[in-house]
This record gives sequence, C-alpha cells and structure tokens, in this order.
Amino acid sequence: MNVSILGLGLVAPGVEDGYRIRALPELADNRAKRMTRLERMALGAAQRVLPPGMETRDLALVFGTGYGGLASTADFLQGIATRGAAFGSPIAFQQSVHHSPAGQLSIMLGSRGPSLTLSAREISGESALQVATTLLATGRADRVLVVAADEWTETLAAGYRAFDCSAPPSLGEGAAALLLGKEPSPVSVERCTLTAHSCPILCYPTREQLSPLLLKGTRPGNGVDSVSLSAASVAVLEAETSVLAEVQQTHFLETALFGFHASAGLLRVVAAAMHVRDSPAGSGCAVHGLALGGGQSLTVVRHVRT
Amino acid sequence: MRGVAITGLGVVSGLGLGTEVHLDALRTGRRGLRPLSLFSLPELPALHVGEVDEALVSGQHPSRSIALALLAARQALAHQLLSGSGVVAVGTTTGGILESEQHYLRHRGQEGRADRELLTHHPAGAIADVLASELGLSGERHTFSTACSSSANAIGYGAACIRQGKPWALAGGVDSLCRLTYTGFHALKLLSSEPCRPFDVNRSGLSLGEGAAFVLLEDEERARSRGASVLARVAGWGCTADAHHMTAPHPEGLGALAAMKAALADAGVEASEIDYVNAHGTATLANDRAEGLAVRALFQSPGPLVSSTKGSTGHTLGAAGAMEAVFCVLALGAGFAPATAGLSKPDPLLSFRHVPPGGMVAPLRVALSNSFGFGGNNATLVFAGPTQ
Repeated sequence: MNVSILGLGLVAPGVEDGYRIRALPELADNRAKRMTRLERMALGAAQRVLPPGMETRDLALVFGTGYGGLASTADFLQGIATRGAAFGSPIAFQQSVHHSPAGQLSIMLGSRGPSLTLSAREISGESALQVATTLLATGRADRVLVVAADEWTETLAAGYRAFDCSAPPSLGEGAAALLLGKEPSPVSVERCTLTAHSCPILCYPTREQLSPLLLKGTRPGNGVDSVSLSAASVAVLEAETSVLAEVQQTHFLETALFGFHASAGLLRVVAAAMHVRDSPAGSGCAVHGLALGGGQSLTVVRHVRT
Repeated sequence: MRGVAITGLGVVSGLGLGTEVHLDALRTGRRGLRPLSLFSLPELPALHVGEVDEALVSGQHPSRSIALALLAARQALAHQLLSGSGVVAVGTTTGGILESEQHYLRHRGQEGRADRELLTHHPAGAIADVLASELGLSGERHTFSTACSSSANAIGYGAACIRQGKPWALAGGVDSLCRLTYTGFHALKLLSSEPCRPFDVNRSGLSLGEGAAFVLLEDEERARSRGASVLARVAGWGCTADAHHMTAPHPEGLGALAAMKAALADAGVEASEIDYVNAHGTATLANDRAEGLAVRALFQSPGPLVSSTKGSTGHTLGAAGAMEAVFCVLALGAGFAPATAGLSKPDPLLSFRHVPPGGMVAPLRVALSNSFGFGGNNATLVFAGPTQ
C-alpha cells in the first residue's frame, strides 16, 4: 500500500491555549453558522486541504471521532431533564449523531461518494485513515478526504475525572484532515496498521503487548528517522521509550502540544507528514497510537524520492 | 459471481434469539413489537417497540448494547476459535448511551463518582473492544457509526477486507433502546402511535427496536478447509451520500439509487437478477416515498419482490443493516421472501411488487438490502445464495 498525501490540514490549539481551541477558523460559507463547534472544527480542517475549485462530487469522505457530538448529546439530555421527555430538541438530537459532521461535510462540499464515520476510542483518526486507504486500494474512490475531530466538553472532562486513574492532564481538542489519492506526490502514507490486544476496558496495552508492532515499524532498515509517540499516560510513555531504545530510535517528534483526545492521533499524523515533507527525500516518520481497551496503530509517512 | 463467504449468523431482537426463531417469526408473521417497558418516561406514552426479552439479556454484561452484541456474536462464531489476525467491524449509533445517559440525568455532566460505572462503556468503540477480548479475537477493530446504515457499512467493509486477503471478519452491529433515541425520534415527530406499518397508506411513523446481528465472513479456502458450510455470499457493497439534507432523504431518492447501483456494479450483477429487496422501509412517509422512487428507477416492471422487516423488529438503528443482512441470508437459504408485517393497504404511490401477506415461497438467488441514515447516508448490500 502506498497512498499519496495531496493535502494536509489542522485545526489545533495554540501553544498558550492549554490544549483548547480559543478561536474557531473563519468559514466562508454562511451555512456554517448553524453548525456545532465540532462540525465547524471538522469543516475548518477539511477546507484547508481542498484546493480551490477542486471537483468534489465523487469525493469519498471518512470521518473519525471518538466521542462525536457529545456537547449536543449533553444539550439534548439537559433539555429533556429540564423541560421534560416530550420536549427534546430535534436539532440537538440530530447533532448528537456521530455521523452528523460527515453529513454536514458532504452537504457543504456536494460530495456524493462513499461517506463513513469511524470511532475507535483514542485511535479514531487512525481507524478512519486505515479505512480510507482500503477505499482507495479497492477502487471504491480515487480521492478520499479523511477528517478526524474531537472537542473538549465539560461532560467529557468530568467523566475522565470520575476515573482518577485515567484522567489525562492535557485533555484537549482539535481536528485534522488529509486528502488522499493515487497520483504521485512528495509525501505518502506508506502504511497504516491497526491491531488490538486483549485489555481491560479502561487500560492501555502493556509494554509486552505494544512492543511487537512498534518494533516492527521502527527497526533499523525501515528508513524511519523519527517517531511520534502516543504518550497517552506516563506508563505508556515509559513503555514506548524503553521499547524504542532497543532499536536505538531516539528522535521523537514533539507533538505533545496537541494534547490528549480521541482524534489527536490524526493531528500527529498530519504533523509527521509536514515534518517529513520538510526533510530530505527518503525521510520517514512513524506515528504510534494506543487506545484504552486495547487498540494500537502504527502509521508510517514518508517523503518519497521523486 | 464474486462474493465473500458467510459462514456464521447470529441475531437477537424483539422477536427472540437465534436464526431459527427469527425465520419462524418471519414465516408466521409474528411481530416482536410490544409497549416499551425498559424505562418509563412520565410525559410520554409507552409506544410499541421491538424490545429484547429481559431473560435473554440478564446477567450477560452491565452494558445492554454489549450484552446484545455478545449474544449475537457468539452465535455467529458457533464456539469456534478464530486464529490469525482478522477484522472485527461493529456498527452502532449510540453505543453505551443507555447507561451513560442515566449518569448524565442524575449528575448533569458532573463527576458523579458513585455512579461512574455507568460511564465505563460509553464510547462507541468499547463494544468492539469487549467483543474481541471476550471472544479471543485478534486483529483490527473498527466501529462504523453512520447512523442507521452503520452495520450495513460494517459488513460491506468486512467483506472488502476479506477480498484484500484477511482470513476472517466478524461484522455486524448493535443498538439498545435508550431514552436519547426514544425522546429524540419523538422530538422529530417520527414515532408511530401504533405498531409501525411500512409502505401502508395509513402509516404513521416508525417503531423503534433494539438488538444485534453479526455475520462471520471468511476466506473461501479457509472456510472449506475447516469444513464450514457457506450459507450465502456478500456479493456487493455500495455506499453514497445524498449531499442534500441532514434528516430528510433526497426527495427523489437519488443517493439511494446511487448506492444500489454501486452495490450492483460491485457484485457484477444486473438489476434484473435481483429476486428480493429487503427495503430500508422505516414507515416514515419521507423514507418510503424516496426509497419507492429509487427502486422504481432501478428495476424494470414488475421488478423484484420487496418487503420491509422493520414491521417485525422495529427500527433497530445501527443494528438494522446487519439484522436485515441476516434476514436476507435466511430468505435465500429457505427460498422464502418474508412479508411486510403491518402492511395491509399499500400506498398507491409506491409501485413495489410487495411480497404478499404470509410471505412467498420462491426460488431466491440474489437479494439486495438497503439501509439509509441521518446525514444522507446510504448503504446497500447485495447477497447471493450459496450456489450462485
């Protein structure tokens, strides 16, 4: 599998913003004003990768999100709690659906190709990326827009706090987008491998479990010059660095500023692709992802020799 | 005909547990709809829903969705251990919301530590995690959440992975009844005051349901080498977006038509080869009319037999595509097209060749199943009988 990256987009918090997006991107289309914050983040990332005037009618769209419209879900439940079960908000209900941002994107872009939403906890963006590469490989699409987005909400933060053990200090938000195709381009997704391990529902894979895929993807000879770590917890970070020490991989891409959220993996993939694009031809970067409940991903992006 | 072997089936719904129970209900016209009892909402009536019998779910798992998924997935696997690295593809709309909504309603988004267990299985992706861990399945896990087409897409993707060389895929979907969807569909004014009547001129909306269904997909050689019977094949998958409206289907069903055409092309079959269509058929006016136009545009008269099984199970949302996939496989295997339960006076604007009341014994070779969802998402699967 070798998939060309034709465009990269990020909607990410600034250095001083504490992992939260303070100003949403300006969106030219007036219809965007009625969208939720999550949908605007997704659309903002998507607009950054689409060249002006690009034909989008047959574009395939794969959206990744761990928690979807959780703010809308909370709004809806708050409504039935305060106004009564008969008076739920129809708008909040439809916006609570995980596929809502993808539906909005297809309407805004006029895209009538395959449209999918994937959710895989903390590797939701990588799940979307992997499915997108399958759509390309099986000839179901010539171009796929991959977007992942998750937003910070008070409900989600409280949920993490309720389980002290898994409360990340850097709970954040963001959106990422990649335009994928088959025509040659300087940067490619060389592979995107997903696997999973038998794990308690609130635990990450152990060092022993995560080691084989991480080693396979980063060992000398694979041309991987740098690695973006999941660093989902202190224990995970220790496990990752000790495994990588075995193959003398010590060049880590600094992507911690994206914070921790279910789509952060795809933000790190975009950052890795930008990094290799600005590095000499042949450079490769591996992006490691881990999810509570056992999911693991390894994505390799490369500056292709042309 | 190209196709991916289906070697296992599992299903649980308001009709009961297992393929025999479901085929029997489809043959006899028994309906699985009764007044909602899972939870009570003081301001709303307990409408007819396809609620799974508590005795089936009890003690299976703290999350009702996961309990339902385990019941169906265990049946699809039939006690085999699947070796090698395959694919677990789950479709779901609301995941573990039945439990997490109770936490929210009690604590209004605060920590509520005393009840935190209610939040444990909230993420949609948790279902695939528990299934894979409990059933000893290794490989990639994907959760498709495209509203009411979720599990049709999970099966389509699972089949695509087999064609790409994966040894097996456990694909299907699940949704439990919950307050969010019950009050949400009420807010959209889409719930029927009586058991739903798809395609009927006197329809008044949909009846919700719950349940799970899974299929085991295998590489043909692998299936043969272990002596497994091929029950049917996934021959094609089509997936499109309307790009029209968030909650209303395209009025002429253009997205639905495109999904059906894409699935036929993927399967390499002509429209004239389709013997039976399991329609999305939710019993909402907008869906019935749009699907009717799409079916009429695709098939020359008289066209295939058409029915909706949502009159039997209710609309099980993210589970519907997989449940109706199982019904298509049962129909192909039994040579029996199930009738639309609740349909007595067909809407004259729909020119379907409805399956007659009581169902119809007929040699069925190829079946097509439609699943459409919020956000203008359309998925179609084509199934071929085992000897095609």
